[in-house]
Amino acid sequence: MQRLLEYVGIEPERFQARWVSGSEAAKFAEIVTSLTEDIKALGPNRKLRDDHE
Amino acid sequence: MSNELTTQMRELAKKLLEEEKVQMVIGWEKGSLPYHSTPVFVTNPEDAQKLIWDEYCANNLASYLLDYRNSGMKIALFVKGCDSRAIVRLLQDQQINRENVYVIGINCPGIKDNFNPEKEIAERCRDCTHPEPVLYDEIIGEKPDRASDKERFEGIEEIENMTPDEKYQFWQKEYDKCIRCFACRNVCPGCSCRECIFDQGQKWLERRVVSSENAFYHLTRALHLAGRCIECGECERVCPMNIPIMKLNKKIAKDIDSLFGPYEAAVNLEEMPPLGKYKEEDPEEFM
Repeated sequence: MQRLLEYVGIEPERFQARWVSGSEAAKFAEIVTSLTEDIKALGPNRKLRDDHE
Repeated sequence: MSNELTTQMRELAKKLLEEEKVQMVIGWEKGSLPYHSTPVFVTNPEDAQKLIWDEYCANNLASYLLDYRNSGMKIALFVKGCDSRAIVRLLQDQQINRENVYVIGINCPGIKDNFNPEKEIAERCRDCTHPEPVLYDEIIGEKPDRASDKERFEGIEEIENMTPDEKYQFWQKEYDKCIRCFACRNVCPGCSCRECIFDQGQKWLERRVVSSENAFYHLTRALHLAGRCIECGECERVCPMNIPIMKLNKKIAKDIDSLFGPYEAAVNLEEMPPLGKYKEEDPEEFM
């Protein structure tokens, strides 16, 4: 999925898949923090939207 | 050679129908336009005379089996190399019963593009890996002496190497053209769902034809075919807007090749698609 989105021009950082178990709270927090940072650096997504909205 | 094949096809169809081995033969007949051969459904032994073989027999007839999947009819049909892979696709997807189809393979010399008849061979036949049918009950025609002169994944890397914005522009331009006629889905032997996600009452896909919805349609369809696409190129042939649909399907095939090892869909009936089975050594990209 990430490869396909990358192929049509979506930055791969925007779509990340990770495996986190229910007991891995720290890992979950870490991943969400880094994902948020990645996306903040990219700014809002304007792709795959319609201009008139 | 074509005429000889035509005679053979007619005789064979006539015999099968007369002996009541099958109730229907699906083949091609001369179309009403030049450079066109269209599918024909023969149920009468006399009508077997309609059948022809020429370089414009482009349609993959295997998808029509889906229309008869619940009819209980026994059907014979002619398949080229790529079409025979469609039969394997349908069998692997458990859409048809092997005993209800009689497959007559044709050693395919490659067909022509009816919109560009001056070209020696259709673009999609240039990277054909299986001119000989992979599955058949009977085979006619001489073994084709031709090698593909095009890489299987030609043109994919070019797009991969673009910047995200260039890629986006490229695809957006294509998706702007889409009129969502669903021809690509309807012709596809891999699209066998009785109720397609795009036909459901829920709003997975909105009705308005705008590029964002079109992109969603094409990406979803590509993913549903991941590892199952037989690369026959029928979707591109029927597309009235000339969208390079295979560039998406081949990208996924290329990724599957690199993730799960070399794989060509529906070449071997016993070998299930990599996404349809589990192996311990499967890659775990996001674990």
